[in-house]
Amino acid sequence: MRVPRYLVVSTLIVMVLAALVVAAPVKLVFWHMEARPHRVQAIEELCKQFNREYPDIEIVPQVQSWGEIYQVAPAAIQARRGPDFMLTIPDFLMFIKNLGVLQPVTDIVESLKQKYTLFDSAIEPYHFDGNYWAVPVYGMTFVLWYRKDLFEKAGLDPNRPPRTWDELLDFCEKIKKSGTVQYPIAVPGAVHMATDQLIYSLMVVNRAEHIFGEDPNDVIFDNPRTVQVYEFYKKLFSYSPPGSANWAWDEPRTALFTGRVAMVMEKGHYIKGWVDNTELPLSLLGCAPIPVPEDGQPGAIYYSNGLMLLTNDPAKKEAFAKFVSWLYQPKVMSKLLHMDPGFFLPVTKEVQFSDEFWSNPIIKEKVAAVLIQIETAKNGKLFGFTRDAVNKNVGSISASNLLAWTAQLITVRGLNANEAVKQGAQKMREAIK
Amino acid sequence: MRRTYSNLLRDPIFGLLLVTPMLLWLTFTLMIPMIDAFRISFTSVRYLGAPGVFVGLSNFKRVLADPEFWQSVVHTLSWTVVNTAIQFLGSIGVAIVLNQEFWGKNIVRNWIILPWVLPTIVLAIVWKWILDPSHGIVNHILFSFGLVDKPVEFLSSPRYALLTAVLINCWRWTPYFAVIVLAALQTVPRELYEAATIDGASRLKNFMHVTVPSISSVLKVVLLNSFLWSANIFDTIWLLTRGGPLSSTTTMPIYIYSKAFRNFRFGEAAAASVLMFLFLGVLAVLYLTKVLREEELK
Repeated sequence: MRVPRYLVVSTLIVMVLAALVVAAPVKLVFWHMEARPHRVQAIEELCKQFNREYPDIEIVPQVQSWGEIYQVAPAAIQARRGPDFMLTIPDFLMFIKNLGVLQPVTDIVESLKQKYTLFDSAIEPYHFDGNYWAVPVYGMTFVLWYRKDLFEKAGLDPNRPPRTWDELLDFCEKIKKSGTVQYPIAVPGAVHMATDQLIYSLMVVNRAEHIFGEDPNDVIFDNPRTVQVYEFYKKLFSYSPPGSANWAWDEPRTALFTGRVAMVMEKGHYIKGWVDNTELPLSLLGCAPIPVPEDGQPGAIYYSNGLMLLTNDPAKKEAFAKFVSWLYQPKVMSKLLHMDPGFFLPVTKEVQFSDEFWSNPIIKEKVAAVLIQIETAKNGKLFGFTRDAVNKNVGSISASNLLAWTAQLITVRGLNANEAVKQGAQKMREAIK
Repeated sequence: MRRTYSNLLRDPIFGLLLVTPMLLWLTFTLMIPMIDAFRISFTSVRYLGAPGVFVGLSNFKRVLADPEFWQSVVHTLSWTVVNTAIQFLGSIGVAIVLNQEFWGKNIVRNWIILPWVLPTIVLAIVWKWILDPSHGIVNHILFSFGLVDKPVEFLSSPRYALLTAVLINCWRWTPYFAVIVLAALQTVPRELYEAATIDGASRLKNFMHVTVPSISSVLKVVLLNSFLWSANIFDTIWLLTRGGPLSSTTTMPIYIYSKAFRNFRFGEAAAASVLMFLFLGVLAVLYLTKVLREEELK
């Protein structure tokens, strides 16, 4: 029997097309918000490396900005143009979860846990409703940065930074009196995440880390320990340059780097910032844990950035699992963390103790500063994520910067800490309604 | 052929065809989003893209009962009225000066639009540094001349922040309107001034009875644009103060943005947008009706 030619041709076409479909790599669009050029480049290089090693998968990184992601992501998801997976922080994750596209990644996290020791503070904020919702990749925390040269000029021991709240105020007074600089410390005061993070760091060290009670709808922000924090913040603010009520991230950093202030409390990006923006030796930049009040505890704000999956396509989920598993190898993860050395902290013990992580020249030079951050991170907390149950509208509190708003009631309107905290709590209750 | 073309131009269907692309564009980019915002204002949507249920007028009630909304209305009125007044009068003044003959006139005419050409983010950063209480040049000068004994917190004090933002916005927009007024001034025939001067008119009378009537239609447009644009300004204020300190520079656009993207209450933000639209729409319609009636009377 002779097979008709058209049948042969069409069968061949179908087979070729099927082969092409089978051979086409699984494409995953990856959104991240690390928009600084050196970080963009580092992430692109890592994705390229993965794509080379796994030709059946193609990761396509796309840069977004933290400034607009709350508007861009929902619009893109609604228009079905969203990413397959993206970078997140815990409260942004809650925001995305409300859109109904977030996929649990419990199986992926469990398999990673069998191979690596993940730090609790990094993974716990992503664990609620019986599932893990993101895979943490790096963490960041707050420390005290200070100018050793200015300490010396003021007659202070540059290797003995302040350890307690009283000492910190005492150092401010001494630096001011010495005339070394007019304003000893830069304290952000704008209604901005920078102010939120500083205040929450002070709340953590003063054991006031819980914003909610055991019931995630019960706001317990107005308590005596929080009031103490705001009283202390007010005192510190009086040592900060005029105009600090409008300061966020850049101004304190510039003030420290130019030697106009001697101290700032901020995250680890000061290390690379110092290298890139000053001609001064890195040894002049001192680092210390956030000073602690008398009956306080060590710590600060800490949050990990994680990867969350937004597609329920099984092939894509499998590809995502492969990517994450590849990324978690200490030598690969170290490369990612080196995109801003000293800022991005490991989330696993294996990376923390790997030679690759410590091999970076900047990290090598600031070993003590990185270790201080890693230790701080272990006791780190994030507001709204300190209990097992999480309020699904916690993003409203952080996006409205209500900790900073409460601070402005004191610094701008002149209320006392007690009254300001009461109003802050009321505002939080309204925000999560 | 010529006749056919002329007939075609008079044909209303042809006219409709010509404006159709623009109407379609406006429908997709303006009308549909506006209708959707109107729909959202009656729902309980918290996040863009999240589902919401019909809640009737409760978003409007909540917005109207919010003291911050009324504070933003007051700020919007002060911001808009002061901006419009300064930009309107300033642009006339600048245009009159630029209409004179003086050395370097062309250079000044070209350079004056620089503030308007600058991206908002650039001017915001520049002005923030210029006015910074500890590093800024303005405070340095004030100190040097002994005019102040402590730094002036231009953008971080509720007392000065709104006024400072107004002045920065005027610095930006006045040159733009000045160029428009200047173009109108150049169309006024010289003979009119000569005739008025021969009749004994003073400079002020020349201005009031020759210049103003000759360019009145342009001035009306400038006034309307300046008012509407000022009321809608978001970027300059946001980049300078983010509506602070403590809502002291929160105008209606900032209030709406904060409600939508900081408090995640899209329904309420949409309700506030509808209220702002009605407020501006009514004012614009009243103004245009008045202007058109005057034109008809002429």
